Parts: sequence; structure tokens; C-alpha cells
Amino acid sequence: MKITIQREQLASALQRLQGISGSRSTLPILSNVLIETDKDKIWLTATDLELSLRCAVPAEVVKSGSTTLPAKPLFNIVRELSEPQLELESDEQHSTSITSGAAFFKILGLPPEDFPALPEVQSDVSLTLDQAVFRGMLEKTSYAASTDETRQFLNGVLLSFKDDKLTAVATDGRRLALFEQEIEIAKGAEGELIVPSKTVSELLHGLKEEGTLRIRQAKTQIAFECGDLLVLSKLIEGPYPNFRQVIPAQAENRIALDREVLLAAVRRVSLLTSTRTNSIRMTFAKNKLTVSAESPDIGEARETLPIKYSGPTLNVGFNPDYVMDPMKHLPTDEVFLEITDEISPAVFKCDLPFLYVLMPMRLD
Amino acid sequence: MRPWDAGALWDEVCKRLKALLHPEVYSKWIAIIRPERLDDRTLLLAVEDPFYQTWLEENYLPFIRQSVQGAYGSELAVRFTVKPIEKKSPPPSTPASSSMPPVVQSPVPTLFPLPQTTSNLRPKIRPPVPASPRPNSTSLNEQFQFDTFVVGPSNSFAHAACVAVAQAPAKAYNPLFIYGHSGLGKTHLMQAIGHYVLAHGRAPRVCYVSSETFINEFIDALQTNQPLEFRKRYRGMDLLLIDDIHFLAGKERLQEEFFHTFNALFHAHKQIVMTSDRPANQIQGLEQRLVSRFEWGLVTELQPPDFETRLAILRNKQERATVKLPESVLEFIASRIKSNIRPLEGALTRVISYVSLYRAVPPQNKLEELLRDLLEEEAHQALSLEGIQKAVAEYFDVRMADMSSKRRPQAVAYPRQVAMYLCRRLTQSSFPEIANAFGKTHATVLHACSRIESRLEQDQALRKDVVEIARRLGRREFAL
Repeated sequence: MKITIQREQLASALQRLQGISGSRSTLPILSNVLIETDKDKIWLTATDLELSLRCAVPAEVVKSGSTTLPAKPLFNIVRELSEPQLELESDEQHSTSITSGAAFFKILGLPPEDFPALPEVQSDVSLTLDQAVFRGMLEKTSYAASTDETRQFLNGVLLSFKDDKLTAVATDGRRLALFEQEIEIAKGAEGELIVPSKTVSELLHGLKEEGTLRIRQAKTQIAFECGDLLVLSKLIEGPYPNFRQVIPAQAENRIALDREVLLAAVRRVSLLTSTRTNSIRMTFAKNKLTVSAESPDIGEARETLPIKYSGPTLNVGFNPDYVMDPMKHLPTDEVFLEITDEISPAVFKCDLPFLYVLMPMRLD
Repeated sequence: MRPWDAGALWDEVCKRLKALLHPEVYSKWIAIIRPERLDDRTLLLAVEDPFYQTWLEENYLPFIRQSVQGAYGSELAVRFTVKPIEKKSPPPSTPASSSMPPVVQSPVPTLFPLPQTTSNLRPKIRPPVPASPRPNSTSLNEQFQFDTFVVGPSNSFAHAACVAVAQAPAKAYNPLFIYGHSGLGKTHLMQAIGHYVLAHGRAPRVCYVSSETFINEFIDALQTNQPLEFRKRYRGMDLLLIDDIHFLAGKERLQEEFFHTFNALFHAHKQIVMTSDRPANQIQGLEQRLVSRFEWGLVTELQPPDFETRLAILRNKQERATVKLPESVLEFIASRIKSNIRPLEGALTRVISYVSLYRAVPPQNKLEELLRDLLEEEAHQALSLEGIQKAVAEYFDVRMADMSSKRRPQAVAYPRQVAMYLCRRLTQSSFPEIANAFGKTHATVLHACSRIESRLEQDQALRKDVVEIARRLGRREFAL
């Protein structure tokens, strides 16, 4: 195999792949990337057996072939090279020489036949989506997924394809983020599946602002294809949380809030939450919202925001991170907080088909 | 306290929760709970979906716990379990996603179904995942409480340390290392800590495992390639009780894993309690870094109970039995079974069952007969090289000093050889150890043993001597 390739394009592809290779050290071949030549490009593949990433980089193919190289050293070398172009040439022993300007490297690879074959995702039905739309859905929900490994079924984003709607949901048991998008769903393509958080974060990096995305699913595998990128992942097996249960039917009060103002205020006040409770107090009084926090060791903070509110005074505790998370990921100017009392779930909504259920914390 | 059953208690709790919570919250989250079981310390509640369990535990547990306490009158642990409602058998074909009940979502067919894969995506209602003990699902034995533990001079220090740890987990002594021979109450004390901590809400997540379970789960985790889940499970505990830690000896990967678990818990200020049958530094094949960590907190030893304690244990045990035994019987058992509490209690059980069967207290000789094997077992344990030397010297009427003297007249050498032979047969000692006890070299012992062995085949008198000495040493069934 012999190719000439642009350094920057190769480096950015490798950067993404090296996060996957080497995350599990049981099989040495898994810390390698597979390089295969195509007509005017090469395919790079990395896998940890649960998640596989395959992406194409344009290249001038002098001699076709394939090899595998350790991802981390390869990325470090490519990143440090100074010339815009580099040349890769591998021999029968799977060692590859890298030449770029006056720099020369030789690194030892492993035979490409040893690289695990990617799981086949055979499916007759596929689903096509706008990349930007799907990415937006994941962005607005995935932060709420649980990282508690004992609750595996919450360690990802639930995708529900049903009634011509795609619903993305993530929850960790204390809050829940949901985004619902109307799309056309082919007959027989309805269903629910849970995409692991790691896969979601790869998608968030890989999906672009334009173009379409094709989703195929078979057994416990799912494939996301867009242009020159293929993300193959194991799915998290159910049970599927009955997330609708969490969403309160209606609230007594609906309060409009300026998203950025609220975000900035909570961020400032949260500087003085005590590490023990990590909660802020939101006091809703007539036309005034007071966000406050106190830490017995440091001191206290308070900030008032003008709001339109005429209900009874409410004193609600929240985890500030949980309030800020959706604010950070929403694009709208205004959000609505629906709240009933100090202990019932509160809901953030906006002009998008989005909602965020947040459980109050108990204030002492 | 009023006698409650789970249903009645839950009805009362529901009344309180109804007043506390918003009607919608109540109907959505409390009404879906079914009372499952109530015992002395725990109210077990069932929901049909693990997600409901998660959400309830995260958000409503304090309210529920508070109401339970109010209704019950004293503290009661509240736990959840997942139990699918089996109202209808699952539909044979893929159900149409037509009429969705307002609360419970119907199962949905798979996305992009394939002929052979349809079942894969259907929500699998799994029984509460057996491999992962969820928080609080401790396998504690209800009998092992502090108030059933008999304190005496041999164990008062260990007991006090355990009570201190239970009252202030991770503050008093961390880690707590309890060691002592089998059957002296290590597990009892350890589990008592678990019970106390749970009952008083000192730490919500308590995990009691034997080292063997720990090892098996670790191997499972490696096999299914889910080491993270394994780690998470143990590192998320507030109180980790590990029994028989000496089983980790010689298991390097496991020690490594345990080392990290230990550190993670220790630095998160979580209490760790371990038991072992010997001090940490005497566990062969245990890494030094673990040894030093085990010795970091408080190390406490359980010693065999003295006579008064043994008697107190028997009295304590007898109080819970229907039959009352005369004090002399208890004293007899306590005086004869010394090293281990299990046979002590076993002997009592045996006498009690005798009394309830024959409606009479066994006379002294009957008692000895009844407990023969237990008493013998006791004698077995006491065998030492010195003991054998003594018995042999007594039997042949030579001086104890002759056992290790350099003199070699037949009258001394012959008993010495018998003693060496018996030492070899009745103890686990090696030739050099025996040689040492006799002040000889191992070759001498080897020679003595082979000589006695060959002579035993022909010499009737020698056989008689050996069997008799063995009998005196408590080895009735000694076979040549």
C-alpha cells in the first residue's frame, strides 16, 4: 500500500478514531486503526467491539492495499509533522514508513486480516433524516442521560420512532429531557431503541450542519451513515423506560423567563452553593424571581430577576447544573417554567417541541 | 407497637402521602406501588418497571420513608423491587400500537424488523437483575444483631469497636479489620454493623459480601466484559462488609481490583469492614500494599470465649428455646467445648432436642455419649507436638525431658520413636518441625517413622500401645 495524503485531513480523522481504539486494551489489534485504500480515498476504521467508527479521507492512491497501525502513535506523529502532505507506504511485514519533507518514521503494524470484521447490519428498511435536525435533537437531550452504570438502560438516549414522530429522550432519574420531531416513518419501521451515550457523543462530533443521515438497525446493532462517516454501535437492551409517566399533565403556574438572563444568574449564584447539598433556591414572588444560594463555609449569593407572576409565593430548591444544562443547549430567547408547588416536578418548555422535567430538591 | 401487615401499613402510609403530595404526583407515582412484604426492619415495595424504581428512589423516597415512619411509629427501611404485573400473558404477535393506555405504555414493535430478530427489541421485562445487588439488598442474616451478641472479656474490645463503627460509619475506625478463629463471631459482629446502620439510616447503601461472592462476581464481570459495572456496584456503597478476606490470598488480579475499590471507598469516606481468620500480615500471598491498608484503621481480635462467656452464650441461646435445661448441663457443655461457638450452640441444640424427645434431662454419662463427637472434635484441636510427647512419656513412664534428650538407651529411644511417629500421624507438622521439637534432625524423625511403621505390621504389643495413646489423645478412631 502506498498513498499520499493531506496531513490536516488525516490528523482530524485520526483524532476522532483514537478515542475509540485503545479504550479497551484486551486485544492489541483494537488499539490499531485499519487503513484501506479506495479509488481516491482511504477508509480508516477503529472499533472497541461495541462501537465502531469508519470514515473516509481523500488521498492519492499510488498502490492499493490495506494495513493496520497503532492509532495513538500514528496520530501523534501526523499531528507533529510540519509539511502539508505526507506519504504512507507499507510493506509485507505490515510496517509502514511515513515520509513528510525531511522527516521519516517507520512504525510497526499488525496484519489487517486480524482486524475484527465490522458487524453486518442487514436491514431492508432504513430511515433518512436531516443531519442537522438529528444532531440538534441529540444535543438538546443527551446531557440528561445517566452515567450511573448500575442503571444501564438510562446510559443513553432513547429514540422512539412512532406515529410519524421521532422522540429523543434522556433521563437520569432526577430529570428528563425530551425532544420530539415530526418525520416520515416508513410502515414497519416503528420502534424504540436506546443508543449508548458514547455513540451519541461520536455522532455529535461527526454529524454536520447539512446533508442527510441514514439509520439502519438489525438485532442489537445500529448503523448511522452520513457521507463519508459510518458509526456502528451496539444498542443498550431494554427495558425501555416508560418516560411518559414522568411528564406532569399540567401545572398551576407558567412563568416566562429570559433564557440567557436566567442562565447567567444561576451560573453566578451557583458559585456559592455548598458542596454538601449543591442546591440553589428559586423564590417566586409577585413579579419577582430570586435566585439564591448559601454555603456555610463561604457565604451567600442572591440575584433577582423581573418576571410576570401573580401566583402564591413558591420556594423551590434545584440543582443548579440541572437548571443550566437545558439553558445551555437551547437556541430560543425565552423559556417557560411550569411549576405547581415545592415538591412536584417542574417543567421547562420553549417554542420548540422540547420539554425538560426537573425534580425539585428538598430545602431544609 | 401495633402488629402491621404490609397491606395495612401501606394503606396508612398512602393516606399520609396523599395529604403531602400533589394529587397528580400521588396518582402517578404512589398509586402504582404495591406493598410486597413487611418484616422487622424493612418494608418491601414493588413496582413493575425498573425505571419507576429509579425515579421513585431518586425523588420520592424521603417522602415515603417519612410517611412510613409516621405510620409505623418507628424507623423502618423502605426498599423497592421490580415485579412485572402478570395481568395478561404477553400478546403472541406484535401488538398494534393503537390504543395507548394513559399511563402504561404498550410495548412497541421493533424498528425495521427482520424475520428472526423481532423479539430482540421487544421490551424485555427482566426480573430484578440478579447479578447486581442493588443498594440495600444486603444478604444480612436477621439473627446477627448487636443485641443477640454475648459480650465477654474475649470479645468486648471487638464489640465496642463494631458498635462505634455502626454508630458513626467512616468516622470512628476506617477500615475496621476483625480477625479470629472460625466460629468466634466475626460474621455476627460484621452483620450487626450492617443491620444497625440500615436500621438507623446511617448509610443508605450497605453491601455485605463474602470474599467468595466477590471473587465470583469479579470473574463474571470479566467474562461478560462488564468490569465497570462491577466496580460501580462496589464503589457506590456507603458501607462495604467483606467477610473472610483471607480468601483473596494468592489472587493477584482480584487483589488489584480490591485495592482500587478499597481506595475509592476509603477516599470517599465510606466505611469498610473486613474479617479474616488471621491477622493481615499473616495472610500468605496477600500483597504488602493491601496488608498495610488493612492495618491502617483499627485491627481487632476475637479470642476464644472464656468459661463465663460460653455459659452466657448458652443461657442466651436457651432463653429462646422452649425447653429449660438445668444449670449443671449448661456448665458441662461450657466447660467441655472451648474453642468455637458453633459446636457450643450445636451441643446445646442437641441436648434440647434430646430433652424434648425423651422428656427427661440426660444423666451425665448419657450426656457425654450424646455429645461424644463434639467433645472429641474439641480434643482433636488441642493436639500439639508437646501434647503428644507428654502423652507418650506418661504412657511409657519416661521423663518428658527424655523426649528431646541425646540419650539413646532402648527404654528411652523406643518411646521417642513412637512419639515421633504419632506426631507425624496426628498433626500436620513437617519432618523438620517434628525434628525441632525433639531436638533431632529430620533424618532421625524419618527413620523413626519408617521404623515404627514397619514394626507395627508384626508387633502386636506396639499396635496396642499406639492405639491406646491415640485414644488418650482423643483419637478413638485412630487407624493404623
